[in-house]
Amino acid sequence: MARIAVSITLAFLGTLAAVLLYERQAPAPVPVAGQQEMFERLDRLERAIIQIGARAQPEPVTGPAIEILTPPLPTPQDDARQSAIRTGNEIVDRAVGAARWTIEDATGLAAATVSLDGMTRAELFARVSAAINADQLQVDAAALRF
Amino acid sequence: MKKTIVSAVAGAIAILGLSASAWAGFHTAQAVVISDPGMFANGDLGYVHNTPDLIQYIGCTSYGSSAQCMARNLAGVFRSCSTANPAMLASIHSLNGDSHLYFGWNAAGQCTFVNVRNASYTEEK
Repeated sequence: MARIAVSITLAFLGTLAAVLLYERQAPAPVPVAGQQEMFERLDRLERAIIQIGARAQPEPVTGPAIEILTPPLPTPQDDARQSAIRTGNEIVDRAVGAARWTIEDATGLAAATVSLDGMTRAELFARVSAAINADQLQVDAAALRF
Repeated sequence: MKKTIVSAVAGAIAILGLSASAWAGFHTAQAVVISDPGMFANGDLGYVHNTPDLIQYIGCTSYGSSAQCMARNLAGVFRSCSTANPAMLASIHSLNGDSHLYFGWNAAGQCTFVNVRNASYTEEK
């Protein structure tokens, strides 16, 4: 709205200045009384127009930037996913701390991560595999049954 | 009497012959092999199942869109890997009790490959 008002004002003042300038440049066949005063007023008017034009800079386009900077609100699905990942990591951490992978750990990890996508789930199980391969986890025979 | 004995002997020979033919053909009998330098494990599921020891194990657990493979050799060494790779999952889903399983892993515990062989020469359970 402010931009429109500034644009209209500028257009009006521009037109007025053009008309006045044309009249100023045109040879006056007959000297007019108070002509000097009129020229001075025209000069002041020109300067005022230039100053207003300088002040009226285009507003920065902020719409898309605001959209990018605003993070989407977490959904219940996101919360459930994060909770499942956290629980899965806790199970693995606890098992590595105890240096044992039990049937309870195996069933617990499978149950806690059942809602996760395959890639995320595989990452959690890969942590178990990495710990086994590094001989940090002793696998209970019963855990194989799951 | 003679006829009976001859029949019995002929029957025994026939049975032995059939048995021999049932075991004919090329066979493999591979226990669980684990290579840490090569980062792989393999073995015949049927043969490992039939071994008298209670230690060796090789197989995979599928969770649908992910899976985990494990192997334990006679020395009790466990090795494992996990995957969500569709091609590897397809291999794992083709496993049966008489398959030969061969898998590799990396330092992160991810499967680097999973090969399954279903052939006439692997031992049956």
